[in-house]
Amino acid sequence: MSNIIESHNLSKVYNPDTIPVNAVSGVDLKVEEGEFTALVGPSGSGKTTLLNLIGGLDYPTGGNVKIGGIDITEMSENKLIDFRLKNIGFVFQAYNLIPVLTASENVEFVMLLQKTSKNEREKRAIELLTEVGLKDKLNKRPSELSGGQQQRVAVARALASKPRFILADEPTANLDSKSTENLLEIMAKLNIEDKMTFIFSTHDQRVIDKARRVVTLVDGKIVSDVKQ
Amino acid sequence: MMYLKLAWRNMWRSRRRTLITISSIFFAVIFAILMRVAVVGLFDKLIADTVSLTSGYIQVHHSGYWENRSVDSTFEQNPKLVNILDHEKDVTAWAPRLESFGLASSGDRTKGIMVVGVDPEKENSVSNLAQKIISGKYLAENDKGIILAEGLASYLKLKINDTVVLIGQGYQGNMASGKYPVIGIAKLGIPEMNKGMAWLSMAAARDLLSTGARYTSISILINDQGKLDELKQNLILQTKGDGYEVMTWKEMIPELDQLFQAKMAQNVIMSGVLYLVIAFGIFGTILMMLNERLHEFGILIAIGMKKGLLAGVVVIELVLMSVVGIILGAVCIYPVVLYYHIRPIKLTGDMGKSTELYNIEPVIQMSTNISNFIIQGYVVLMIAIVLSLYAIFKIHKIKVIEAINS
Repeated sequence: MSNIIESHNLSKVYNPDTIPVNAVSGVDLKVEEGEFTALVGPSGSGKTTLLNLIGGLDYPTGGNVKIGGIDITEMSENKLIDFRLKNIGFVFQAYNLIPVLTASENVEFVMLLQKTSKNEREKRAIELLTEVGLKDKLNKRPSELSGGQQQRVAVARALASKPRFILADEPTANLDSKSTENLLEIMAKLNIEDKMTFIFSTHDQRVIDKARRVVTLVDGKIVSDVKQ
Repeated sequence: MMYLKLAWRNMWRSRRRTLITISSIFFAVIFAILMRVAVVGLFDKLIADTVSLTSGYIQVHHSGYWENRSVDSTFEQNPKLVNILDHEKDVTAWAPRLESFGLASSGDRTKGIMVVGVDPEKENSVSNLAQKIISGKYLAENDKGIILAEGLASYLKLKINDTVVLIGQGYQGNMASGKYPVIGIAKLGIPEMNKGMAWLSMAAARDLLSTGARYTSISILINDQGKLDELKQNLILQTKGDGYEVMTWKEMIPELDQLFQAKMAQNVIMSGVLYLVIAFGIFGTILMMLNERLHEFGILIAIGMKKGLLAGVVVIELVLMSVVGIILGAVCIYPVVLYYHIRPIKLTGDMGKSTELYNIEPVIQMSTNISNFIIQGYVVLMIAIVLSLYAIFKIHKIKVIEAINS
């Protein structure tokens, strides 16, 4: 398997001129295609910052990140937005769907940004929402869906752009145990059947148990990297 | 299409705020339109009444006539000129006139007046004089009688079939004098004209002034004021070398145009205050929208929406909001404007008197010219677009992580 993500000596310092905070410090991480990786660690350990740097949402203060061999830390903001659109799917803790669009439209939206044709958008949105078990909720707006259902729509949206991997920041943090179980099943199924690479940060032991690789961060540094 | 749908739905997310913003645009557009159509209507009527009875929108006369307005500066009937006017598409109607200043006398009363010799049919097509007759009858060709303006008849204490004496200077120093039976009295809206105008048939006027088959001017009515200068230039080109001078009403009665421009400037200042209210309303909405949705903007940028596109959707939202307010305002006020166009508001009391002081008929006939509505809509739209530059600026300054964490 080839490395889809590589970080070298990756660092992020907040407030460098006042009270410096080393959120991520010298992280070397390689993620292969098809991995199902959990980033764990206590609050403030740098999980979210690391995900943000890997996802090109933030620029590091040191080191670099390569996605598929391309250094994204050198990219301009606009190029990075385009790169994210084509290569990375995001699932956020608070679902973050567009409240005025239906489930189907939320999934279609990413494809619209990619300039996919209307027919193809509609077809794929239905396929993806069916895959996450929401075939009967296509025309529901986020406010009409439960937290678990919204997060499943978010997963479908993340998959819509056919990304190379999906980054999920504490995806189950706001879900009850049943919804968590459900979401994990879907993610695991996508990982196994579609070989979709997942990297997610979590505190949740049930999620950690499902992961096949667990990277533990403390004070912005990797302290353990275990395959299970 | 989906971006439009997104913008439209976003617009209604904060229903109450959107309704307040739309309402402020709605009422401001209504007041701005009302103020404009009232002023424009008042002056359209004033200009139409004034120029149709005096100069015409465009006038052809002997070169130099307008400076001294002497009956000596007349010109003979010219088939070439008639042909040009009959075939010029922008000319709605035209009428030859033989005008002179003189004295009208009856009993112990005398007044300086403008006496106008007219071709009754052609004159009516330009000035609607026949419709202004309130007693007696309109002139017929070669009529020997006279039509007096109502104020003049009243001053001279004349009624139908009474006789008025006219005295003045005729062509090339001839004495002009004659007695004329009053056959009609016309009521003119403009106070000064209502006190000092009289009309004779062209034949009677030529007799009085000893001009023979000559005119002092040809007054022209046009169908589109916007083509005033173009038509003037056309006529100048076509009559070059014939000794004519072609002038627009703005050149002949500049004080009327200046009064109109001054009123419009006042109107712009008043409208400016309304626009300021709209601007603050829209700007408040922009500020709240940017604050409330910063997190969402961050997410959209994170999943791959370019800032330019995001800003575009926000601009569409603001434009849609403005367009809804503008259209609602214009549609709701149009029937009111139409009503007061058909049934003009008569100003009475002090307001009526003060209007008459400016020699303006105290009647507000609102203008239904659609351009007045379009101008207001356009201005409000421009305000929204200019203010949305702030939203564009702020969106381009968004830092994704800060926005997501907000």
